[in-house]
Order: sequence, then C-alpha cells, then structure tokens
Amino acid sequence: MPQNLIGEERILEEVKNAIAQTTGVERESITPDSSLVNDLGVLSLDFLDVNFRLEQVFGIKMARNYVLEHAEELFGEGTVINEDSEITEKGVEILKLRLKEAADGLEPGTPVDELPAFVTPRTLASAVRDILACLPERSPAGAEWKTEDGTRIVCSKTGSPAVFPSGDEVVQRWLRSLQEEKQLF
Amino acid sequence: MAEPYFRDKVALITGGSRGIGAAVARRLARAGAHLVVNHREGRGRSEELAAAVCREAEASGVRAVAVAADISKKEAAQALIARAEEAFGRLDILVLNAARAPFKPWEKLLERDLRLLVETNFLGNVFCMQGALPLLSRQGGAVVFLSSLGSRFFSPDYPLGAMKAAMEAAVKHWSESFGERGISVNAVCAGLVKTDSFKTLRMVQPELDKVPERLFVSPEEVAEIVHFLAGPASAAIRGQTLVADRGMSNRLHGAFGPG
Repeated sequence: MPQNLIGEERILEEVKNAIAQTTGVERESITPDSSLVNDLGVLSLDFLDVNFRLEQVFGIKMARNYVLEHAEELFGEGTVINEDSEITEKGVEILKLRLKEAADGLEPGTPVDELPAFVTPRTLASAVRDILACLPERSPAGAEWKTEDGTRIVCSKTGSPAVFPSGDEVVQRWLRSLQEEKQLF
Repeated sequence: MAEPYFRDKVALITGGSRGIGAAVARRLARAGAHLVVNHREGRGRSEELAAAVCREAEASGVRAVAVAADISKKEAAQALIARAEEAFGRLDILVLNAARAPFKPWEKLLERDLRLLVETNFLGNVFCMQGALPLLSRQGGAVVFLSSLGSRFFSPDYPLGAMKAAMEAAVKHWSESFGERGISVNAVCAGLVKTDSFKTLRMVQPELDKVPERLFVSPEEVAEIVHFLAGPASAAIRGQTLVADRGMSNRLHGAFGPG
C-alpha cells in the first residue's frame, strides 16, 4: 500500500487483539503461526466474530467465502473439491500459493472441513494486507492518505475513509490472474 | 421452580449447546425436565459449551448429558436417540433446533451446498423424529421445531428459508400423523434473535444492523414459547407455527428484511 501506512507488525498485532477480544483466548498464547482451531480452540463460527472485528478496525470487508469456494465458482464444481468433500491436487496447489508455509502438511484428499485448521494469525494478517494493498496512490480528492488510530485509512484532505474492494473481490481477482498466469484449469 | 408436568420428563434439544437451543435447555431444566443436549462437533468449544449447559442444568436439580452427533447422518441421529434412552430410559420432548446453512444466493449454491442444506435442515429433523417416535409413543409427548421467518419471506443469501418452509409443512403432517399417539407437534417461528447465528446473518445482510433494538427477540423469550408448546397449556394447539417476531413481519412498510 502507498507510503506503507500500516506496517506488517501492526496488522498482526490487531489480528491477535481481535482473536483475543472475540474468543476470550489469552493474548499471550496467540503466536503468529498458532492454528486458531487446533491450538487456540476457536470454532469456525467464531471466525466471523474475528473477521467482524477486523472489519471495524481497518474499515474493510473480509471475504465471506473461502478461497476454494471462489475457485469452484470460477472454475467449476469438482475442480478443487471432489464429491467426497476432499481437496483435490489443484486445490492444494492453490492453497499452497495462497497460504505459503501455513499450508505445509496440506495434501490432496484432506477433507474440506479440516481447512479452517490452517488459518493462523499470519494468514489472517495476510488477507487484511491484501485488501489494504488495493489502496490507490491518492485519494479521490487527489490528496495523500493518512491513518486514524493507526489502522483506519482516510483522506488527509477530506477525512473520508478509504473504500476498499471486498475480501471476496480480492480473492477472485487473485484467482483470475493466477489462471491467466498458470492456466491451471 | 419445577413444574409438576415437566418434573422427571426428558427433553432432547438438537443444537442445544448455544443460542436458542441453550436457552430452551435452560428453560426446560428449570421446569424440572432432564436434558439431552445435542451438538454437532465432538470437540473444542462446542463440547465445552454443551458441558456448561449440562452443568447449569444439574445445578438446578436435574440430570443432563451432552451428546455429540451430526443429525444429517441417519446413524448418528439414531445413536443420539439411543443415547437418550440409555441415559434416561425415556423421551418426552424433542426440540428440533439445530440448523446449518450455506449463506449464499440460490444461483451460487453448489451441489454440495444443496445437499448440506437438505440433509441437515430437513432430513436431519426427519431422522430425529423417526428415531424418537417409538419413545415418544410410549407415553405421549411433544415435538417442537424452531423455524424462522425465511420460511415465508425472502431475504438475501438465505436459502435455509426454503427448508424451514418444508419443515413447517412437515410439522402439520406429523401433527396429524402422530396426534393419536398423544404426541403434539408444533413450531415456533422467531424473528431476529441475537445469537451466534445472527453474527453470520448480519455479515451477509448488513442492513440488519439498522433494525431497532425493540424488534429483537431474546433467546429466553423464544424458549418460553417452546416451553409452552412442550407442555399441557398448549393442548389445543396442534400442527401450528407460532410467529414470535415482535410484530416485525406485520408491516408492509418499515419491515427490515425479516429472515
């Protein structure tokens, strides 16, 4: 994002805060690579709370659907998830590209239900960063951006909050450019 | 606080570890009924929440067991009922509260989503009813289904509503099919209730944030109606769906997108 308005560390801090505040998990036990589900005991339904909090903190809209669901929508049912609700080879390929090290241990045949276990504070921070990175150089008023409270980006001239594409749009754009580049499907 | 009718009766609540299900469990326990608290995931916070509901019930003097089962699977639904019989030797009240939904527009529902929709929200309830029937038939009892306004009104990304409508019809059919056995079957159709599920709904329908507080229904208020339908006071009500939405769906204008 322009002028590196919000640093990586700050994003990660806010993600940890959001998890601690919405799930009651102790702040100290949250490390960047803790699996929310396996290490912190967070339920998939609670992810919504975490996302909601992040949306308020950063003024963004987190994705409603998982990467693989978007892939199925774009490339067809059965391409990344098979009829037994397991992730296919192509599904694993996409997830490894998206989650990087966090997807270590992900194999074809992994049940889709186990996917939430791969979500970590780092992967959430990555998702937030991807949305924030869509910020244009200048505001609609032609001015520079500044932050309020260190996390909300507003126009330095009018104070209007920056408007970002939704997390779902960002994922879909990423998938489309991936397809253009790699012709996976 | 125990009421003569409910004392020593046994109630099974699907999805009873949180939200409306937990409120129903608490209400029935206060009335004196023993509980089988069903939840889907047999680990993590879901299990903790179910255990907490059971502990609370036991503190009010009844016995309660938590049983993990995914009711969309017939064997699991049957095992759930079997566990109830094993623990208590009887079943008097079946509260069908568990629901799952893909919150997506109809045109985007994948085959997998559709199967989940039907299997949990329709078939799962049928499996539970079929499993419970022999026990309920022994001494009579009640089945209460938790519906929602999506059964009769559109709201975006809420295909679950169609399953709720199917179930409301089933409630009428079951009422007529099993009434002679002394089994009452009714439903409660709640409006907007602030539970964990509401968080999901609010995400897909952000306009819900504009609904005034006065229109919200508490889980405890819904539980009161379930308690009413599960007991003798509702003897004349058969195969009905009672709407409890603070009147939200009465108005053509100023209605805030019921779901």
